[in-house]
Amino acid sequence: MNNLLPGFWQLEQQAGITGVRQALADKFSVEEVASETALITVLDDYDWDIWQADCLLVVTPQKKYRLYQADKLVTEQPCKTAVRFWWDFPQGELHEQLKSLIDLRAILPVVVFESSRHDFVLRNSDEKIIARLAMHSYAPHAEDMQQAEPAAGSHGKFLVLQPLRGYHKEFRQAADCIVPLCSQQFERLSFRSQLALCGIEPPHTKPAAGFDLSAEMPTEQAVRQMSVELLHRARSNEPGIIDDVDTEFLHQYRVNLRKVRSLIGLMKKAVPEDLFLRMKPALAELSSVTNALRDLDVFLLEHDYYQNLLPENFTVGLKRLFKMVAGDREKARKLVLKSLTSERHQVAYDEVIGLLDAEPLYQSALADKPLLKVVNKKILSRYRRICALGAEINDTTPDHEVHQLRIEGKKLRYLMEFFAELYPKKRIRKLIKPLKEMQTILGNFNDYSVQKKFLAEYENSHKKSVELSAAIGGLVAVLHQKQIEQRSKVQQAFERFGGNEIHNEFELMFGKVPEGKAL
Amino acid sequence: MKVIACYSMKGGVGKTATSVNVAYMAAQSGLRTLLIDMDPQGASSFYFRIKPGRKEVGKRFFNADKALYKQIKASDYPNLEVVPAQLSFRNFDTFLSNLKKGHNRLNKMFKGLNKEYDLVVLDCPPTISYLSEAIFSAADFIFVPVIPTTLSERTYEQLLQFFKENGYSKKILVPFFSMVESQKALHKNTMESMRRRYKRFLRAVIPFSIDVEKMGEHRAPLETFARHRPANKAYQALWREMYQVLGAF
Repeated sequence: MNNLLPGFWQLEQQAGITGVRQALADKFSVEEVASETALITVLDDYDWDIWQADCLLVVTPQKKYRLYQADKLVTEQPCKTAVRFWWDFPQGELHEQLKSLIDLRAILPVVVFESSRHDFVLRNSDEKIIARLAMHSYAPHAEDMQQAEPAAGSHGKFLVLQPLRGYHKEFRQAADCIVPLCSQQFERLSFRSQLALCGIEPPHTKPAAGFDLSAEMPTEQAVRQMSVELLHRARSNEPGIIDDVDTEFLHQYRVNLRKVRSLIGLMKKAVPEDLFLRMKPALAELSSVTNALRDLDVFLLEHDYYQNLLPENFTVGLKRLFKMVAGDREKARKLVLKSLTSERHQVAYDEVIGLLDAEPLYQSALADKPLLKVVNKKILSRYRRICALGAEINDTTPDHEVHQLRIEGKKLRYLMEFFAELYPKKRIRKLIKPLKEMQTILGNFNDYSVQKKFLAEYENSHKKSVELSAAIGGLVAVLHQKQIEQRSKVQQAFERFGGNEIHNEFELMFGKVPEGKAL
Repeated sequence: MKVIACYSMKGGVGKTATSVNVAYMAAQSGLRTLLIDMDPQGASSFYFRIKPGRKEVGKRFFNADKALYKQIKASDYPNLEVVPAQLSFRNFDTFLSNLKKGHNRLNKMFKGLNKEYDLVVLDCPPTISYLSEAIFSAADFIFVPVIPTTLSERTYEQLLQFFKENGYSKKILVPFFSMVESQKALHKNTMESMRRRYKRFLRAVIPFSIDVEKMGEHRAPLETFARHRPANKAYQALWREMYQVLGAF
C-alpha cells in the first residue's frame, strides 16, 4: 500500500467550487463528502522564528495547537489555559519543539484567517471512486488582528487532487479538467506555502548579520554606519519591552547597545576623540536604566534550574525568594517603562543618533584608513594579547585574571563578528567557533560570580526570614561549588584556542597580506 | 504478512461475501489489506465496483509478480486494495500446471507483497485445480464456508480427503457454517453432528440473509449499508475469530 503523490493547483481568483464541479461534471460524477470551516490563528514570535524554520503553528477556536513542519502535521496539542511561552505547554512533543524553535520568545497571534475545506470524491460510471479532490480556501479575518504590525494577506484557493492506485488515467483526465481554472500548478504545496501564496509573510525580517561593509571604505565611515544600524536594532525592541511581551526584547535591546559601546571603544582611534568621549556616558545611561530589570529577569528565567539545585526542604524559602524577586521585577519594569516612554529618553536617543549619523570628520589617526587593513591589525593584536594572557593561566591564577581573559575574548569575538562579512564565511566561522567554546566556559565561570553577587546583594537589601536566608545561603554554596568545577576547565579551554593550528590560521588570515593577493 | 484464502470446492456457499466483508473489516481495523479476486467470475471485484483487469497475469512467468502488482487498484475504503478478477487466471492454471513446482510460484509472488500489506485475502474459484493447489501451499489459513446440508458435508469430507492424499496439512483448514437457516431442522442437525466430528469449526455462524444478497445491489460491503443487521454482526464475529486464529501479525 503506497501513497501516491497528489497534484496541487492554485485556483484563479474568480474560480470557485461551482466552476470546479462543472469542469469535472462531463467526465465524472462529483460528490461532496465533507466540509469544514474554521477560524485559524497563526502564532509565532516577534521574529517569526517558527515560520522562518519552515514550520507553522496554528491554534483553532477550540484551543487545539497544531505544529506543521514542511508538509506534515508534527503534533496537535489541546491546551485550554493561556499560553505564552513554550514552558506553558504541557510536557510533550509541542513543548519540546517550541523550546528549540522560539527559545525565550513569547508566542503571539500574527494573523487570523478563515479557512475552509471541501472534500469531494470523483466517481466513474460504475460509481467507483477514482480520485479524491480537496479544495482549501483562505481569507484574512480582519477584525481579529491583535498585532501592531499585521501581516498582509489576501484570498487564496487551492486544489489538491489525490490519485488512487490503478486509476492513473482517470487522474490525468481529472487534472486536465481542472487545469484551465488554475493559475499555477505545484509539485508540493504545504499548508504554510498555501498561506505564503495568500500573501502572509513576516512583516519584518530578522536583522541580517551584515552592515553593508566593504574592504576599502574609510574606517570612520564604517564605524558610524554600523553604530547607527545597531542603535536602530536596539530601538526596534522598545515596543516589545514596553508591552512586556517577553524578556528577549530587553535582552536584545541591551545587547545591541552594548555592541555600539564596544564597537566605538574598540575603534576609538577611528572616530573623533570628542565623539568617543561624549558617546561613552550617553550610551551607558541609555543602558543602565535597564540593568536592574535584566538582572531580575535572568534570575527568574533560571527558576527551574535553581529549584533543582536545592533539596526539597528549601522549597518554602525558595518560593518566597522567587515571589519577592517577581515583585521587585514588576517594580523595576515600571521604572524602565517610565524611562523608555519619557521625553528625556527620546531626546537622549536623538542626540546619540545625531552625533553618529553624520559625515566622517577624519580627525583621528585611523579614520580614513581602509577598513580591512585596520580590522586585520586589530584582530591580530587582540588575538596575540589573548594568547599572552592565556599562557599565564593555570589552576592557581587569581580569578580577576580569568575575568580579564574573558573580557579580552569578548572583545575579540565582537571584532570578528562585527566585521565577519569582510572575510570568507567558512574560514571566519572556523575561528569564531573555538573562540565561542572558550568563551562559554569563561562565561559560565563569570556567571556564577554574578549570580552569587546578585544573591548576596539581594539578601543584604531585603528583609530576611530564616527560610529565605537558608535558600539564598544554599544557592550561594551550590553556585560556588559549580564555579570551582568550572574553574578547573579554564586552562583546558584556552589550550585549544591558543594552540598551533588556530594560531597559524590567525596569522595567515589577519597577518600582512602581500599587495594584490586576495585572502 | 498473512495470507488467507476463502475456499470451497462447491460454488454458491458464500465465499465471495465472506472475502469481501472480512477484507473490509480487516482494513477498517487498520490492517493494510489486499483482496485478490481469483475467481474468473469476478464477483468480489464487482462488489467493489472494480472492472476486471485486461492484462494477463499468468502468461509471462518471470514477470508474474510485476504483472500482478500492476493490477492492484485502490478500493473506495482506506487500507483496502484489490486485484480484480482476471479472465486470465484461467490461463494461470494451465501455466502453473506446466511448471515444475508450479504451486510454489504463488508463494513467490506473494513474497513481493510483504512490505506493503499485513493481510492478503484470496477469493478462490470453486474448483480443485493447479491454482487451488498453489493456494493451499501459499495460504497460512484456508477458511472454508460450509452450508449445513448433507451435500456440503460430503464436499467438506472430500476436501479433507484431498488434503490427506496430497500431503497438505489439515491444520490450515478452518471451516465455518455459512448461509444457515436456523429454522430448518436439517441445518440444525447437520451443524450439531458436524461440530461433534470436526472440532475446528468456528463458533460464528453466518445466517442466510437477504442483506447479503443486497450486496450486489449496493455493490458495497455489508458494514456500509446494513451495519446493525444480524448478517453483518455475524461477519463481525467471524472476523474476530479469524483474527484470533491468525495470531500475531
